[in-house]
Amino acid sequence: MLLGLRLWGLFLAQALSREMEYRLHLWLSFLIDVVWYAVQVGLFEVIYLHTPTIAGWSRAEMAVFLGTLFVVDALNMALFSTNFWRLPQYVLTGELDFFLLKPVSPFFLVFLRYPNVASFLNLAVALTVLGYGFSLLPPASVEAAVAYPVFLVNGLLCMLSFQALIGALAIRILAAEGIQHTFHILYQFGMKPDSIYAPMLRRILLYVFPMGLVASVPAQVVLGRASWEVVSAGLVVPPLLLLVSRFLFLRALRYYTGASA
Amino acid sequence: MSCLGVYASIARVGLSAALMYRTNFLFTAGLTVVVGVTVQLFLWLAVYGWGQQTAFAGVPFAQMALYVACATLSLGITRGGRVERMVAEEIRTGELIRYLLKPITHGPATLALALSERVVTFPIVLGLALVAAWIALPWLPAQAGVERVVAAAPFLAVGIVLNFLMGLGISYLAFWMDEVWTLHVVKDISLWFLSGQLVPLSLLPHGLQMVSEWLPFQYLAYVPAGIIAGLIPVEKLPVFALRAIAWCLLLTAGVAVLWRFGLRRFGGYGG
Repeated sequence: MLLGLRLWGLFLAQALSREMEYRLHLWLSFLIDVVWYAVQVGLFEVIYLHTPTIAGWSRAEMAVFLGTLFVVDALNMALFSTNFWRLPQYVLTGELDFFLLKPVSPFFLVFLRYPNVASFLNLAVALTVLGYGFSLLPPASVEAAVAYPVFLVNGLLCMLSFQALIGALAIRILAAEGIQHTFHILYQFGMKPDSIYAPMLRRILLYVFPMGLVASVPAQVVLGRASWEVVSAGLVVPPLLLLVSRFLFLRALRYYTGASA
Repeated sequence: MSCLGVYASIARVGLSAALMYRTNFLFTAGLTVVVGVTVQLFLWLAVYGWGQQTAFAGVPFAQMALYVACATLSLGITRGGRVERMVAEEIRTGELIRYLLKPITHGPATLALALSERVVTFPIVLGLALVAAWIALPWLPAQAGVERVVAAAPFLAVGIVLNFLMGLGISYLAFWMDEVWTLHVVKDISLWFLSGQLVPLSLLPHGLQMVSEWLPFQYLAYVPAGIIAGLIPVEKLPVFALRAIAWCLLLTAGVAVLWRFGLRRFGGYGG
């Protein structure tokens, strides 16, 4: 654990010095997510011009939901996303060899090797949106405030697990381009509160394909509107999903033939 | 070979290249449209209170559902692709010299390649549109006639050209900048909102609505989908057509200027 943290500190320092060489790229990368945030906020702001609630969510509650989504997304972008996008190329070019030869867990190295510095800046914007949402509402209960970070981390684990599953698939089918898009397309289900979906789909988004756990469940927890079933799913499903996805990812590596093949 | 024949040949070569990635294209394009429409329909169902509210901002649900589906399909058809982005890479690596040595003009040659790429994605989007229309037929509003689809088709074509020109213009910035892919991503994300794919532009506050009417983005989704769904009255079409043509000319001129000045900075070796 300590070794992992020290290693990641070195990765971050390297990423930082790399980004300082290309500062314009850093700011443009920051801009991408800011524009994405603006688009999501803009969509709901326009709808709230004509209605007070959407599926039981007021404008202030939706701001908390969006803030939560942006925080989890920014953390995912900062920690895992760049690595996920590079993975199919590693497989195709054989660069993955270098990750497997090192005396560190390949799962750790593949998904944490390249932190994205710009996304740490985006985290500040995400926290601002979240703070704005909270400022419009009465203070959360102590239990909700304590539980909220746990559910945020679990949302992040869900994101990592999905990417690991798609990564495993990329290794098995040797897909170089496009397979990462699958994640971002399916991620759209998590970008809206799960109460907009039909009951059956909501269950699927909770247990089978738990995109609802990314932002919807943490937001419900902190707003004090989550049922016991939702809380239980939010606590149990993400760690299980991570274990399964890690297992499948490491198993998929057995099929990787390396650069020499 | 005639001038048109040259570009037709380029398009044929582009089609063969695009077909190499057909599974990828079809899967990504198909999934994008299916998931996009599904999520949007659920959102609007919730906005309408699952049938409790008959109209939202004066728009009945059936009309809104039709708009949402058509807007996602329209952006699926008009969205920029690999070809425009590759131009930036060609400039950066110096591969652009291949075009400079041939008796062809770069802009039209890239347009031919871009159109051939869209030919691959078009059938899947059209197929999905037909399936959606067949499912939704009993609920479709009366104004969704064939004549409206015919009226929207030229705007779709203009939308493809406008998006192409915007993408090419961004790629030509590679003459001055090391990396422009971030600008392409910013453009693509902005288009979800600015084109009216996520929300009809007629729901925007009055001031923003007036601004959006003068911008080129609406031709990528709002105008074609709005015509089909009956959100845009037929009487306004000539005005939209004139503005769209004006934007095509303006962007073509802008891209030509970027190309001319950019070439002065370009240095290529070998061939």
